[in-house]
Amino acid sequence: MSDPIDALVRDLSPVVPRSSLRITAAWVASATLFGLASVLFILGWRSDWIEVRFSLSYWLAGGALALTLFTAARLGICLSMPGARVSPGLRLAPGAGLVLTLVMFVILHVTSGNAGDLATGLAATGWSCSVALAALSILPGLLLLTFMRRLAVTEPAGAATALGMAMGAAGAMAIGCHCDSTNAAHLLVFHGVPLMLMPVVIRLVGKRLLRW
Amino acid sequence: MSREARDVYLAEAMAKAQRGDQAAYREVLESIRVIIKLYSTRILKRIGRYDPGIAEDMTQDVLLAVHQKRHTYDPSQPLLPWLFSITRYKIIDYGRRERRRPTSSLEGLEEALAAPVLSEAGTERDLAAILATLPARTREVLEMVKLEGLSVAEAAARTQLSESNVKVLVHRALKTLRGKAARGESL
Repeated sequence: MSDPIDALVRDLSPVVPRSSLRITAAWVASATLFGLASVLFILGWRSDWIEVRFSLSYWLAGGALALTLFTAARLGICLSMPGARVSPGLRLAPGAGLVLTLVMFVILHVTSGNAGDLATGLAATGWSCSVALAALSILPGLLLLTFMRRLAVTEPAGAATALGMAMGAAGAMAIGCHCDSTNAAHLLVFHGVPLMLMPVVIRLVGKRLLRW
Repeated sequence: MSREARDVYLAEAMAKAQRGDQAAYREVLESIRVIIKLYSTRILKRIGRYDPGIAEDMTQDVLLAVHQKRHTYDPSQPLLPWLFSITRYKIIDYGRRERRRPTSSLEGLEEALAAPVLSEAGTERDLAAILATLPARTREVLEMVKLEGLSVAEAAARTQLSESNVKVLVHRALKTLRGKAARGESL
């Protein structure tokens, strides 16, 4: 049975071993640049930037999203590298980041002082944030999907869930730089719900796309 | 050769193969082929679906997957966890394709893959058992060349045999092992 081995040896060409950390860093940098460019040139920066830049809760909310973004991307890439050690901490980190983000949305409302009442936060115009979040997550999502498909995903369902979390976090970070609402109802419904739904939807669709 | 030394040898050979060394790549493929075949055969037997043709197909699928995804191997890590990860994925993929066939039943595949007996240590015991069925001299030469990584000349010097004798013994040993693995012997 040496024929298949002969063929594989003849087909051998040098390859560069991939580094999960470098790929993760490259994607995080690309997603961040894309988000910044979208906000600066299309959506416009949030009008209360001067006020919130000194707001600890605003930065903590952003930090929670950044944690979700990085750990979800890292998890997805590690699940695409056969034999890579994926610690229980790494598996839990994106979900923990997501929960922390939702908690920070509430804290943001409580600490901002000008969030308004919850009912006004549920105005129909809030759906534009959800649509924009989803739109801003597409390109980073396609890029991360491309990276993962070029590797060797051994847990398609888990990797697709991580992909959905990373996409959602990228979209949410970008829209957070545009949307100036600090109302908990608005943030939880129009930002938080898409954030929670995206991993579920992408898991259903993505696990088939990630098979090889 | 200790397991650690074997792991280091395989990792170094695969790193050379990633740089385009065909001889090292052939060494790696010949070494892992038996391991993959044993692992696949064990899984199929556990779920009562053993067939030499299916085991051989799985082995070829995994070897092809190893070839296509060799860029995902990190040379600083042991080779076998990477190999077993790909093998398990390919077996699950096979099970998924089979489930789509109405006449097929692969009950117990996930349990078989998750069972602790399907560890590297389990496969290593099988490998030792199957090697033990070979004549002593043949086993000795095969272990030197294929597991310890000695060259034909080095193995010949150690065993006081000619190089052509060593080559013939290795060739016969591999042929015997393939036949035994195909018939599912010693598992």
